[in-house]
Amino acid sequence: MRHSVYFFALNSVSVADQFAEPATLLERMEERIRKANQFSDTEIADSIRLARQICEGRLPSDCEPGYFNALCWLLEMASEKVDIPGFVLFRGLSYLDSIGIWPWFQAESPPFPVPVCSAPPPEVGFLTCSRIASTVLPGIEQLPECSDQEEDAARTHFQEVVETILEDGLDLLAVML
Amino acid sequence: MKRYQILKFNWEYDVSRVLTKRKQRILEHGYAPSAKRRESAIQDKLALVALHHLEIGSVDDLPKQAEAGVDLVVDYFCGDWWTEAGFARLSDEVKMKYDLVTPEKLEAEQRGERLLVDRSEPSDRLRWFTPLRAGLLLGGLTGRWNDVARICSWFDTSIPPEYCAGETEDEMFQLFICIAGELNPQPVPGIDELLAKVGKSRVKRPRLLCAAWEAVLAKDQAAFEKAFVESVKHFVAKPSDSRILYNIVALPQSIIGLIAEHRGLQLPAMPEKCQAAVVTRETVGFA
Repeated sequence: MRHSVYFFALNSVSVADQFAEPATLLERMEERIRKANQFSDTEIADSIRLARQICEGRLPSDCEPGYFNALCWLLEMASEKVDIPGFVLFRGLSYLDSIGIWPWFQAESPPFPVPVCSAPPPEVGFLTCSRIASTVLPGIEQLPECSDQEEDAARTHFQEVVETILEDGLDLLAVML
Repeated sequence: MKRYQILKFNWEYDVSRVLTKRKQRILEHGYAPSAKRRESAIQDKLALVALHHLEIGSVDDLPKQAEAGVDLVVDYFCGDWWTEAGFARLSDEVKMKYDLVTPEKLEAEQRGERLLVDRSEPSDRLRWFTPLRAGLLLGGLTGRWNDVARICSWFDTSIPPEYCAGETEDEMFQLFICIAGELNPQPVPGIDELLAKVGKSRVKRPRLLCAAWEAVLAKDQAAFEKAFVESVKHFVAKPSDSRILYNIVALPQSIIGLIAEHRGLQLPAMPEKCQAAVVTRETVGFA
């Protein structure tokens, strides 16, 4: 099975504020999904319903993938989506294990509600700006070598991205689907 | 040391067989009624340049191959081969060769090709990135800037990044839209905004290339030298994707270098490894 990790650079406090008063955010999200021109009215209504539940923190203990998709749409509006080559449609979880970055995302939680799945993936990961500085950037240099060029390139791209996120004083949220 | 050795690229094949095979493929499919086959032939042209530049093998007829490569790219973008009229012109021999013998197959194939090349319905299925890069490189090497302009007239900011399953960052596609937009004889609205977006990329490769391109636009020799060297250094510091031969060379930097020289700037002095990665008119024997 193939997986993807979608990254969002964000000011967590600002996103938490937007989630707390979600009306405008949900309107923009609906507009964005309609613009994608790939979804039926029913699918759009479902996404908005799940997104509203996320913002309001009314989430089941075991969330289905739809919640994670809705979170991605929300964050595309509330933060900066960052495409990092090598993390879309990768060939399996062992690939991500070899890149070695995912455990760092599992240590902290964002200051706003996010869905949780009892058998991940899907899974949400989070890195604060301070943890990027204290743990991630020094740690990348210490990781064992990747097993191939593709993994190595993905890790390098990730490193370049987190360097700029640290410079901008932002946090990083990742959604693995 | 040869350039491929300086770049620590390990070549394991019989180069004469590779050259023969690639040249045959170009002859066979360069003008096929298929965007994928044409794109593959265009990739083979890039591979011939890379083999010669890297000194893996000598491509004796490279000038002729490069000229014919520009023709291929011009026809890819500007020809009507994928239209109803183009398909109606196919000979029986070609129809047999590509299994287009029934009207239904012919129509289905044309519909499929149209999705890949017809810019009037921009989508991420359009196949343009490699043909454009080939057109810019081969056109720059051969000095056929009028044909480069024809190729670039296909482009504006409505052309989206190709679907590539996340392998290449969107900003790389967008940078090449900006380069094509600049070389398009007609003004292209929205290019400045797109270039500003590329310049803010969180991934280093497009950001560094963008700085070099902006220096070319400004005809700023000092800024160009600094940004160009930094971009090539970044390229050679990373392991290259050796699955694709022309990715061993610094293709985007080489293209920007050729345009820079055409606009009166000079390529900067660089460390040996950087020099080995950049294709110029001199390295392929065209100057």
